[in-house]
Amino acid sequence: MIIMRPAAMADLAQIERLAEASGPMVCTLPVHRRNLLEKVERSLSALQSDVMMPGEESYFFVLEETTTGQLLGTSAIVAQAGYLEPFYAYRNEVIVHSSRALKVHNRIHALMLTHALSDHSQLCSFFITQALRHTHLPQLLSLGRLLFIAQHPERFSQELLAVLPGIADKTGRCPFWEHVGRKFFGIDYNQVEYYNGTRNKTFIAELMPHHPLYVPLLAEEAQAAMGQVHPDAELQFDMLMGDGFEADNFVEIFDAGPIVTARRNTLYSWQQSKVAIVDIGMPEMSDQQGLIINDQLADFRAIVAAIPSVNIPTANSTSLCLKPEQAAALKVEKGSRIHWLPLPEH
Amino acid sequence: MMIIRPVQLEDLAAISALAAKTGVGVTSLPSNDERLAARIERVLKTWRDEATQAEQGYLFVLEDTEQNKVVGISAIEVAVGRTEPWYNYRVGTLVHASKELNVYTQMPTLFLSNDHTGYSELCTLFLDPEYRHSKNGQLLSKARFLFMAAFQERFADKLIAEMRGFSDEAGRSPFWESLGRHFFSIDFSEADYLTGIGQKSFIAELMPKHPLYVDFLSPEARESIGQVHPHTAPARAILESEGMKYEGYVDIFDAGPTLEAYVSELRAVKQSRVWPVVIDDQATSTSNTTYLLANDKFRDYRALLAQVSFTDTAICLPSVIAAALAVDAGDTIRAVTLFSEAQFVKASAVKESR
Repeated sequence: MIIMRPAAMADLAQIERLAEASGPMVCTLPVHRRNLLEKVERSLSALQSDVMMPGEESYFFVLEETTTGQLLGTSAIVAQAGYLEPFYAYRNEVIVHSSRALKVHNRIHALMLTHALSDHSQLCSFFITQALRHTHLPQLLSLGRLLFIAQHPERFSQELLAVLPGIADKTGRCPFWEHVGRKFFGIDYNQVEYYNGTRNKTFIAELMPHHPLYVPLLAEEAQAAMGQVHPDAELQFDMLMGDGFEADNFVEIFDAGPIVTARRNTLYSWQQSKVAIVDIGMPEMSDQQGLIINDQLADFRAIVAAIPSVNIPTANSTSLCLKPEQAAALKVEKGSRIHWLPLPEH
Repeated sequence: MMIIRPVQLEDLAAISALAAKTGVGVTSLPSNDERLAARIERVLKTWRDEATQAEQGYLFVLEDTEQNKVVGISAIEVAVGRTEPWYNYRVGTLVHASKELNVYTQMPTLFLSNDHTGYSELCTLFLDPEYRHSKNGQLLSKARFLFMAAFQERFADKLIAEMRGFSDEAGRSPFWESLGRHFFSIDFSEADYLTGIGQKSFIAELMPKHPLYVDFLSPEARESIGQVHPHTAPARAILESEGMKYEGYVDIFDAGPTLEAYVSELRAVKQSRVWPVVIDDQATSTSNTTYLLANDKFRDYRALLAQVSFTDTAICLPSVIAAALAVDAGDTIRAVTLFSEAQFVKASAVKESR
């Protein structure tokens, strides 16, 4: 059985292997033992604390195949993207330059460095083993976080964001970086993303251009890359956009990858998820797949499973019948509270 | 004889003919008779002491007295930017550095500025191509310095001169193509023309206001920052020899340099001396130094070039020169060598080596 659960200290070696497998693309999953160790520690600490409002907490999850104990993926939530240090993004602004006398009206795009997203909760560190990309498991690992947020809303902000990697080729050449960031940093793209994932942000404040960048002055290939997601991250992007995230307002400062944002109560996962009381049995299953989570913190569990036929249509069902092995995987029993979401078609 | 004198209403036709010859780039001489007439009115008003400071300006003509023909013009504005903003880009530097990452980058940056507000300005310099000899260009340009030396209190502390920037044979300005065009969507020549006829509000509406990192411009645009058009190089050389310098301010359209100086530091201001006049038709000059001479009369100003001699206490003028300068014995003349010492030495060295 495959479950989503919080990371434990014993997972560290496997997490490191997953970080390596994810390559440089996921900068919030760096190949850096100490950094990964701290992520796990902070997550455990957050799950054991009483939290009334989002602050310094972060939560780190893994996807585990329970019979073998093999880890298949990771995902995380940071309660406040810019808690100790600002969260940098480029806002895609439009400045209208217009003269009625000359009958000229130009909409000029400019990238403005902004900290406005610092209070958002951030979804990050998403990686799943290549082979599983065409299953429902990516949804478990990614949207499971959104159900966790819905279950424990006081720990998170009303506003969410996720940074998706932008265009870079296999050699690590990133067109936006080549024509923008490199002029100021003089280092390679992979190097700066690595620093971004492992160091504090002082170097960004010192090196990034703070004045708005007029987009028409950027090289063609840099302009073309703005807001474009890396092909290997399209799965991620599509899942979040499908749930109701918006793109086109903000881009990442190094590779201009899309930063998607959402007010959480507008998301499909927020609006369509339901609370139910657990019953144990062997119900007849429908074709509808669902994402199911328990209401625990340190013992958080989530699975993907077929939804019983009686729960379709999903309105007005106050109980959900689970098979015994499902209840065990979810660490629930009859009468426990769960939260579940019908998954949209892949 | 070639003399410099204040413009008169009667000169309009001649000036209009000159304006038609200037082509793109001499912004303040548009081929527009209404504006030219208004300009003449304004400077005459200044000479009558009836103009506000924001309005004040002077316009001089170079007249060939034998042909009775106006063949050149040059002008001074007393205080720019007092009714509408006076724009420049200031070429500055922003340093981005991180000790932690061992990175240090200097980024040249263009900052939109109105720093020259209130400065006096040399402008509208144009000499008929047929008269570009015999130091006529030097006379036309430098007579203004002598005028300022005589009447410093009428001008600002600082003086600027905008030099035409680089454009290629097709009239394309690489700086405009790389920057201005994206915002203005019009040709450089049209932007230039509109500025010249005083329709400047479009600048505020259309100019990019945020600082610009020069590195984002094309290589040709970068190279042209602070460069003059090849035809303007002689004029630049003249002004620099008189003490004007490029201090990092350029034109917002073509990035041509603005030269600047404290009026009190101008060579003609520091070195010119006032001499009582002695009329002497027999006097011959002992050296072949050319002098720029002017009568220091505000309304009836006259200036010309001559090789003259001096006693310890006076300047000796032949009567024909005195007449051209509208002075008699006992009046005073302001005189300065046409060229600075360094220029003169260089010029004679060139002669000797031939």
